[in-house]
Amino acid sequence: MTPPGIAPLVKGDPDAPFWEAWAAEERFLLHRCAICGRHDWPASCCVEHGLAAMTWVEASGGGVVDTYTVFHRAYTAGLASAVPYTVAVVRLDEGPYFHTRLVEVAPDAVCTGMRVRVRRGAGDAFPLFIPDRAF
Amino acid sequence: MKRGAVAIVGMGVTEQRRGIGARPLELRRQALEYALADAGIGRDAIDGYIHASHEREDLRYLGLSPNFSWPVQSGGATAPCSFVMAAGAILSGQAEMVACAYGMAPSSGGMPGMGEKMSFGALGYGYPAQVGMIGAASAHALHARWHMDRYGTTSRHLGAVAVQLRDHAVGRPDAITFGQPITIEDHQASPMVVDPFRMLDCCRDTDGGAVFLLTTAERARTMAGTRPVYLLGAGMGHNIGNWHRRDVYPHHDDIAPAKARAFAQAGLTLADIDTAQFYDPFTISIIMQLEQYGFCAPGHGGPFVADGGIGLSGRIPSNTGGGQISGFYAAGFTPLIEAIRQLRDEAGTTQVKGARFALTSGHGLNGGVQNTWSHGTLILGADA
Ligand SMILES: [Zn+2]
Repeated sequence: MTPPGIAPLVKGDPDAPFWEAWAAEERFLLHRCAICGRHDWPASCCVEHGLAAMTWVEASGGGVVDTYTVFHRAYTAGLASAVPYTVAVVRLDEGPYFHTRLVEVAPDAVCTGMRVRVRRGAGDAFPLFIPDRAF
Repeated sequence: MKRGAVAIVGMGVTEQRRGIGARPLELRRQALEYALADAGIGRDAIDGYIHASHEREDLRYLGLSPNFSWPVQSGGATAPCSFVMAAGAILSGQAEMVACAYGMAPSSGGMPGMGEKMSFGALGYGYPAQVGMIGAASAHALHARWHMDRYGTTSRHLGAVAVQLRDHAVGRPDAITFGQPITIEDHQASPMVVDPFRMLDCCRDTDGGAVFLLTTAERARTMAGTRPVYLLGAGMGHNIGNWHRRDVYPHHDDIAPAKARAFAQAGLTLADIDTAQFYDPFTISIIMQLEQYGFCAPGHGGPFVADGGIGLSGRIPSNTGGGQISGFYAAGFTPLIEAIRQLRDEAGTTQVKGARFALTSGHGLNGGVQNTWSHGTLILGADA
């Protein structure tokens, strides 16, 4: 029996709920502290309250581009057909950073501060982001 | 740590270039021999061994019989970390003569823990590798883009760093770009690799070994024929705190605590520093560190370099061996090697006249997703 306040051991990949929710229903989850409401990604201890208070909750899937880079060179053979591609660090509306690829936008049209949201309905195995034109 | 209680009394550096073809272990063996000769001592004097990274065969192959052998791995911050560990061992009475050893051969096959042939795919930092975020350049490019968009830093500012480093390296025979000057036009014409970095913004892996022998200041004073360099101050900072605060990209590491501790121990201020040797795998690294150490105001690093600020007659002559970009890539040991050469008056065409105090930095490891690097500051002096 785990003492009160001490989180039981997480078996396997601590990030598994995130990937499973995306794969099953394209739901975009974050790890949230039930005490202070701080969101995290990837799975983390709350810096104030530890792991015991953390649960996976659905997030907005929106944010702004904090910074980005454009790959003009493929570092593995599997990426050769992808260049040039844009990797962005999105500052999610809930607070955490999320590293992803920006799609449906030319690399030279990307800028810091632009609003983006997760793309749904395209069968993406990884949550990719697109410009949030509705905003 | 008390200023000047520990001294570097021997330094051995092998050739540093691409494709040497020797194993890392053998590179450390030769570097050790150079260091022992430099210090005028035998291998039996080594009673502590600190190894940047970790392989199991070192002591047997190098013929050493120390009382301990400790691995340390903090990426490019390993170099300052290894000196701090050596000082700790010496000042706690565990050893009197510690060897800090480095040897890598990434361009001749293999990195520790990554198999015989290193693949760039192995240099993905956590889950972003799934979307093709691979290699150190992209991690630093995120800082560079942030800096450009926030402050108006330009590709030509990055180019000014590349040209200045090359100017330093062209007269230094140990640099991989010896005798090969470049212009800003060459930089602007070099192919874009990972935006905003062009080819000439990036260092290349080189093979090589380096060994440093550290002892007490008292022992150093008895070693005739050596040119001791003294450890005046050391400090560490880790960018994971900025990750938790969601403020990673404006920072080239968390330099403030490292700088504060190192300068307090040394009893020096920035104005006392004669030369700086920064960890510089990419051009942005110099710009951001100049700002965060306080040699110029935030956002002014690009113009500072373009105006000659890190040249030999500038405000702070920096990376005088060409750094990692134009000199050679011995991880965090590149800045230490050059700082020691400067303080021993052995820096050839880029010797800073009368250099007494050198600032050095190291940067590396991954404490989170990425860009959450560890930073180490060492201040070295020609006198205690
Ligand atoms: Zn909390």
